Amino acid sequence: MTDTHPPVEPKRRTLAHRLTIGLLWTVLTPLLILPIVAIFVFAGRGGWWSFWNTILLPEAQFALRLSLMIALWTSLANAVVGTFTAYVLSKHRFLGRGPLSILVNLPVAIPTVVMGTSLILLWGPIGLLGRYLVPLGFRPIFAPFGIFLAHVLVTFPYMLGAVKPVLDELEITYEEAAYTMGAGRFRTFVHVMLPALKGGLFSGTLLTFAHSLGEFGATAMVSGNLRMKTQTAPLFIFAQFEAGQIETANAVAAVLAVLSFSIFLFLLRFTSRPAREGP
Amino acid sequence: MSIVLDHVSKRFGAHVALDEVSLEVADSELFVLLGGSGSGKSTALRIIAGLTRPDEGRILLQGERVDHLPPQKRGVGFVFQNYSLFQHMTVGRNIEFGMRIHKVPHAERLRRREELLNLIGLEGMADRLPRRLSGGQQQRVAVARALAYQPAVLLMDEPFGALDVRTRSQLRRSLKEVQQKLKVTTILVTHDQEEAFELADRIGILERGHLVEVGPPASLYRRPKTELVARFLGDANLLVGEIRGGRLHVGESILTLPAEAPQVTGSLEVKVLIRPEELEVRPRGASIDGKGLGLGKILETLQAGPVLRMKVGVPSLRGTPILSPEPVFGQAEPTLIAHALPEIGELPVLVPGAPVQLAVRNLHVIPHEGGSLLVCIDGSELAGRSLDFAARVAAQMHGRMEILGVAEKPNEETRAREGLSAALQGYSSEFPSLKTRLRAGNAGDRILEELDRGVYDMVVLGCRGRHGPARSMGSTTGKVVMQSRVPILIVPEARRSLKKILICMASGVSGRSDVIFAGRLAGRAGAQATLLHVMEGDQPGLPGAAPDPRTTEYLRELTTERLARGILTLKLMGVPSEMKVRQGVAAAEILEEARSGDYDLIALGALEPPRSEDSDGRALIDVVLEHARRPVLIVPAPQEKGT
Repeated sequence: MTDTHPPVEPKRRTLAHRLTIGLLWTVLTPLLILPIVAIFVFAGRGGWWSFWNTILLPEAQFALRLSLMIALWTSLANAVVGTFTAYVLSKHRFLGRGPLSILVNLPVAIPTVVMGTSLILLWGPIGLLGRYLVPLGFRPIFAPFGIFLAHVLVTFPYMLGAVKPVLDELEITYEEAAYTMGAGRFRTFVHVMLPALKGGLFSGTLLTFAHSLGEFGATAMVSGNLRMKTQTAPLFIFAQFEAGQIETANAVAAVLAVLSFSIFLFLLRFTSRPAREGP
Repeated sequence: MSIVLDHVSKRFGAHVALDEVSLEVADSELFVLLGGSGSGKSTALRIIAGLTRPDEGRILLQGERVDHLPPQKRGVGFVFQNYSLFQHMTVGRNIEFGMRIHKVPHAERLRRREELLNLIGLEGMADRLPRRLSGGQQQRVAVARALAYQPAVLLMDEPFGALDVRTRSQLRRSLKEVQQKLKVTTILVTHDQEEAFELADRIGILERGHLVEVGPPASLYRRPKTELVARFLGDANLLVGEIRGGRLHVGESILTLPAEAPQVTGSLEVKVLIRPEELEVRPRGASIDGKGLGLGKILETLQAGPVLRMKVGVPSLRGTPILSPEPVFGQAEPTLIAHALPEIGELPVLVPGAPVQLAVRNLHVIPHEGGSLLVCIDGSELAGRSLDFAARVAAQMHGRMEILGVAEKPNEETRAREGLSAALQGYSSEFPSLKTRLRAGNAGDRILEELDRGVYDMVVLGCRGRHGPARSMGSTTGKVVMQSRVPILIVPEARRSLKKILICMASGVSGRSDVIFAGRLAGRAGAQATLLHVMEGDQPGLPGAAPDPRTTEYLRELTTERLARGILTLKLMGVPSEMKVRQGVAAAEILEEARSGDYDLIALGALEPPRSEDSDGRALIDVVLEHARRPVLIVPAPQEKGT
């Protein structure tokens, strides 16, 4: 394949050009760049030694580990449930399909605090289901499982958004080809659909992971913010900040920022690779 | 028999995709299903593969019923139009996929993979990814993949559809080779005639869910059983002739009757098919081989590769119905088409305007049904009258009719059934092949469905509302008028016979299709025609403004010219005709002329389907129907040609 686009002539370095670029930097520096810098500046104020000690605090360690575990389980759960939902919504026609496809995307539109509240009203001691389940010993609210439920709910649309477009594009004939060659539904899914979904699944999982890692609103409602029990990293940062421990807060914030940043870079590389390869 | 379809039907909602299709494909045959889009050909293929479930009918593969089997268990290879190669697998893995599923041992898999790659000429490409291959190569891999696990039958859905012309013809040849080498029974679906002719052992022609005709390509082309196939395959000259005294009369000429033509004692009207290459065109005075068709004149020529395509005017055919090439509005002379491979010396002579002599080398005779009417009745007195008129028209046309009764509610079924059996009794002596059908549901929908079968030339509506002779279009009539692509005859009050037809050119888009259809009807029925044009006095949109005399004059000239062309068209069809111009409001003038001239039928053109409810055309039709007190024929604008 040859490139059919005519080469674009680079803009000449006129005064207008320089002004435009300057303006862009002036606007974006306070809005986007300095906030990120600030975290690292404050986190490193006491020097490496103090940063390291802060990170090793048992509370900080617990919060970071809890956040990572929750993010991991949330991504796994949504990889399965999200893919299943995407598959059914994309390949089947049934009553209520239209409303359902809107409903599953709703969690992005509704404030996370509201989503958290709704979970309490469902699973809490006086909730719709909770009033029957709590006496039986099922107490997800103010427990890590509740956080997991909240994260699955809040991040659900990300996996769907990454996988469903791929499925929509994938014509039914690929499945049918496998059927005519003797492959059943399960084998067709494993050998034909899943490989085609690889890219979407991967970026969906990473997106979910990143969002879960930083989730605050719903977590704050559902977790009860119990130290060493249900306090995730974002909640820990907020608590420390409120208590005036700005450096501790910033140290953990810096770790979160680095984690998210690496995921983001990875995602960027991964998603841009096929485009570079060309058809 | 490798593949048997036995009365297979499939509907999608109201759309009938396949209607009682029966088909047998022999072992190692390459069968091509040829049809336009929406003809149901892909549906047929998917039903055989088990990807779509039929509503009715049986499917047998290798003599065993497979209706209940899922696609996995049917042992068919399927090649999709988009190939559907698995993009993440190499070519080799794609080909091996079916064998892996069938647990073929590794060594055997590799052996067969290499064998197939050799066969399709892609040796050494096993490790490529599909997207690194050209379209043609991908297509071949798809064929190899479908053949790898040695299915009993191979099904191909437009396999060359996405390729350029050159690749296509290369691949056709290699496909034919592969198929003959492996002797695998194959059904290929296509809309491309050339492809069908090049590949097929036999061709089946599907049209709107009906398998119209099946046969080897050459006999389908030369000796089709139906007019539809004669027109569908290649170009055709199709004329109406008469077998009389063991000879074939076409216009003023007498042609040789082919051996396979029906033996007739009296006389019989037939359709005569002359393929363009069987029509010999020679300069006047030159020697000629075929049976003479008289003198003519070349109207147009087109050198298409080695073939010279000509349109030839043949005055001696005036008055002879020509079904194909279809007469164009305003055409003065009967026209036939001829394809020739002229010698160099002849080329300067075979030019537009040149006088020529014509002869027929070979021809084929198709039974002539003389038009087919669908009459819809609801058992009322009014329906009885319209049925009566329809029967007269059908008799005058030497045509057939079928009667459809629709019961909208369960309690109407008895009445409809009685109406149908009475009709059958009353008319079966006159029409021995008379058939009746009873359907339940919305009358308009059922009528349109029946028309969709595409075997009727005209529909006659008698059921005008539930409450006797309603004085405006009932919902059923309205629906059919809006959506039918077949001309509609509405009979508010019957006439004794069809002797005088009033063709109105004031309505509709062009008024051309109604002139041609009504002309043909008049020709068949031996009626005479009057062409009427109504000049509307005031310009629409300028109320009260005095029309510019120059505009009026221009319009008058335009009208006269159009009428003259209409008269030419009618004369061409052998219909005695005259023209009239009236001034005033269209609907009123049409009604006045119809009354004073005591016509038996008013023919109106209608807007193109789907016609909108509130158009002027509809309003005019409404008014005319309301007051006409005589049969009204509504001719829809021609639908787009082709598949």
